[in-house]
Amino acid sequence: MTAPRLLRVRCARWDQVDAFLRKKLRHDGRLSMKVPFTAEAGAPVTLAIELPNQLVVSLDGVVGALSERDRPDAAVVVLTGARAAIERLTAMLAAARASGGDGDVGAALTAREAELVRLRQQAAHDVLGCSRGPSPEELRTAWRQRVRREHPDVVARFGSAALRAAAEEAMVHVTRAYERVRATVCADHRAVIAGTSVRTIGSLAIEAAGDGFDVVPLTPPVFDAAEPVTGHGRRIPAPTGAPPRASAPTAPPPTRITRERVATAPPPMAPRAPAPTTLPPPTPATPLGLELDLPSVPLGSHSTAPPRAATAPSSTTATVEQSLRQARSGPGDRFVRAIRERLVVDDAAGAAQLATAAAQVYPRDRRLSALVEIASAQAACARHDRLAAVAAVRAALLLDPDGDEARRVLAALEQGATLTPALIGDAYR
Amino acid sequence: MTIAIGLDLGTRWLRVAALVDGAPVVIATLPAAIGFLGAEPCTGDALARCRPEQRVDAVTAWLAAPATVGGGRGAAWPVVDGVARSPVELVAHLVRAAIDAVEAALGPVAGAMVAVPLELGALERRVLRDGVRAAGVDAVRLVSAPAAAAVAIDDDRPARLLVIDAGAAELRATVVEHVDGVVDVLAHARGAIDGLAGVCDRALAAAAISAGGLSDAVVIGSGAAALAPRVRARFPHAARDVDGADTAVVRGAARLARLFVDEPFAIAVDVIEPGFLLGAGTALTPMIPAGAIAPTREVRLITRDRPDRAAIDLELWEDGAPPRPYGRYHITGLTAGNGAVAACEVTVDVDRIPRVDASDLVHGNPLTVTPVVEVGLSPDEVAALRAVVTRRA
Repeated sequence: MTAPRLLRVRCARWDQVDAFLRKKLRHDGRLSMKVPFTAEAGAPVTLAIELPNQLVVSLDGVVGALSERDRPDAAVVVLTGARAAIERLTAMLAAARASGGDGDVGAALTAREAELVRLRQQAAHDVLGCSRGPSPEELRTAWRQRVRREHPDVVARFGSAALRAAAEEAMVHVTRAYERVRATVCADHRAVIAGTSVRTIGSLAIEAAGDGFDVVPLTPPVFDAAEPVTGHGRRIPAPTGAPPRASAPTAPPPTRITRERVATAPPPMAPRAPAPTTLPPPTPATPLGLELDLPSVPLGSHSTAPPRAATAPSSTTATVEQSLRQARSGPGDRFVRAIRERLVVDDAAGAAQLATAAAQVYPRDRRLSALVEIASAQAACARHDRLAAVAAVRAALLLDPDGDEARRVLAALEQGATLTPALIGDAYR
Repeated sequence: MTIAIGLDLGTRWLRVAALVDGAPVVIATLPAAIGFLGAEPCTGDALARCRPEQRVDAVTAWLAAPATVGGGRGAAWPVVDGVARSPVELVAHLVRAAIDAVEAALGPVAGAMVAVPLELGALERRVLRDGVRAAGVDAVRLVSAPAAAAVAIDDDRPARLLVIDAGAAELRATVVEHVDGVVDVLAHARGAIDGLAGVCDRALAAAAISAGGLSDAVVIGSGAAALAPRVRARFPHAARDVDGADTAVVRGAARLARLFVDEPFAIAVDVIEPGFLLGAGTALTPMIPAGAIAPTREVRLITRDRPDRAAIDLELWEDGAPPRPYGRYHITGLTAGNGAVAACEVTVDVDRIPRVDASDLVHGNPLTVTPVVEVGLSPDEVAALRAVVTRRA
C-alpha cells in the first residue's frame, strides 16, 4: 500500500478557518479541493489543517470516486472522523473570537493597513470624518471617535508589534489632521487650544458674565493682535507668522487705521502718490468699501511691547494711542468695569470668574490678567490669609505695573492694614 | 488567565493594583526603596535587614541619571554598598517585587500601565519603561497620573474634572476631560500647598473654562484629607469625595490597564511637553513642538558637508532650560551625491518617548540608524537585565 499523500490547508487567519468550515468541508466529511497530484479513486490522503494558533489538525481519508467532469488536479476527498474535527475546529474558532474580538491579528492588520492607505489619500477633514468648516465641538467629537478607532491602545491586547505600528501610523495621520483643522477652527471661531482640546471662549464669557455680555468687540481688540477682527466682529483667518491678508503687500509696520483716516483716505481706484516713509502705509483697498480695522500691534509681538504708534496722528488717534500705550483703555473696558463692580461689593468669586473669562477673550489686556490676581487677593483677604493676599497683589503688579490701585493695596497690606475684602473693594471703587 | 496591572511609582511608595471582577483592587504597597545584600535585592519588609549604605531610599530621585545604550552612564548613579547601580536596574528589581506579589495572588501578568507625573521628561519615561520591561513585562504603557485619577472615578457620564493632587509640600491642579471613552489633560498648574485658590484659578484659566463648567473637583494624594474642606468651600457644586484618595491614581491605572487583555476602558491621550530639538552639525533646531498631541512625527531633510561622506551623525535633545540630550545617532548607507540626502523622522510615541528613523531620499530605502549613545537600554540589554532580575522569581 502506498503512503498517504499529504494535503495541507494553511489558515493564517481565523476568518479563513471559518470560511473553510462553512464553504469547503461538508458535514458528511466530503471535501472538494485541488490536489497537487493526479488523483486516483481510493488513494489514501492525510489532510493537515494549519491553524492561526500554530496548531495542526490532521485527518485521514481517501480520494472519492471521480466523475468524468472532474479535472485530474481536483478531487473529492472523503475524510474519516470529520464530525469530531468540525466540532473541535468550531470550538477553537469560537474561543479565539471570544478571547479578543476577532481574535485575529492577521485580519485586523489587513484592515488597518487598508485603512492607512485610505487615510493617506484623504484631506484633513475627511480623515477626521467631520465637515469642512466644523465647529470646535464637532471637531472634538469627530477626533474622539477617531481616537477610539485608531489609537494603538485599541489593538494592544493582540500583542502584535506590526498591528501596533500600523495603529500608531494611523494615529499620527489623525493627530496631524486634527492639529491642522484645529488651527483653522481657532482662527475662524473665538477659540483657544487647551491641551488636546479646542475651547470656544466667546460662549464662556457670556456664561461667566451671566447677564448677556456682548463679547463681540465694537472696537478692534488691539491687545489681541494675533487674529485680526473686522469692524463687524468677523474674523479674518491669519496664519501665524504671515501678515494678515488685508495688509499692504510691501509689509510696512502694521498700523492702526482709524475710522477717520479711512473716511479721508482717497478712493481705492484713485491714483496715489508714493507715500513718504514717515506716513502710514496706504489704506488697504476693500472691494466693497467696507471700513477695515487692523490691529495696531505687530503680529507676534508680546503684550509688553508698546503698540507702534502711527505717525502724524490726528488728535483722536493721539489720545487712543496714548491710552493704549498706558494700557488703561481698550476693548476690555466693559469687563474691567464689571469686574471692578464685583470687587466693590466684595464678590471675589464672581470677580475671579469674570476676570478669568475676560482674560481669555483679551489675553493681551494686562489689566484683566492683573484683575484675576486681585480677585484672588480679595478672596485671600476674606479668609485672613495675608501671605497669599500680598503674593497675589504683587503678581498683579508684575502683570500690570501701571495698576495704581494695586500699588495702593500692596502698600496698605505691607503697613499691616486689617484684612477685609473691603480693603480691596474700596481701592477699586 | 492573565491579568493586567496598574503601577504608581511615587517618591515614597510603589503601589500596584489589578482588576478583580472588574473592579480595581490595590494588591500591594511597597516602599519606593530598594536595598542590596550583596547581589540579593531587598524590597518591602526585607529592607529592614539592610544597613543605610546598602539602601536607595527614593528610587524616583535617580530616574534622571539614566543608563545609556552600550552600558554608558548618563550621569552619576547611586552607589549602593560600593556598587554603582543603574536606575533601570533599581526600577526593575522594585517592580519585580510588585509583580511577584500580584502573581502570587492572582496569576501571570500580561501588561502594566504605569502612572507617571504629567511633566515627567522623556529620559525618565524611557528609564521607567525599560525598567518595567526588564522586570519581565513586555507590554508597558505610561499614563499621566491625573488622567489615571480621573478614570478611577467610575462614572459613565461625560466628566470634566479638576484633579487636585495634594502632595507633601506642593499642590498640583489639573483639568482633565473624560468624554466618550477618551481621557485627556486640558491644562495644569502647580504651586505651594497653601495657594489652593491661585493654583486652581490658573489651571482653569489655562483650560479656558470657568469653575461652573466643572463636573467634579476631587482631591487626591497624601494631603487630601486636610485640603478637602477648602476644596468643598471653593467648588461647592463640584467638590466630590474620593474613597481612598491615596490610591486613586493606581486604581485608575489598573482600570486603564484593561487594554492589555480586553477592550480598553478609556484611551488616555497625552500632549508632548516639552518638545524635542534636532542637532545636525553644530546647531539645535526645533523638531517636535511642545503642545503636539502624541503620537506625532516630524521629518527633516538632512544634508551633508562633503559628497563623499557615507554617514551622518544626528543628535536628539529634549527641549527645556537647559535642553537635555536624549541620544546621538549614526546614520549609514547614504547614496553618493550632493545636497539633501536623507529624510530624518522623529516619532514620539503614545508614551511620549521619541525614536529616530531615516530614509534615503534618492531611493526611499530605510537607512540604518545606530544609536551611538542613547538614554535607556537596547532590547538586548533589557533582555540581559531581565534574566538577572527574574532569576530569583
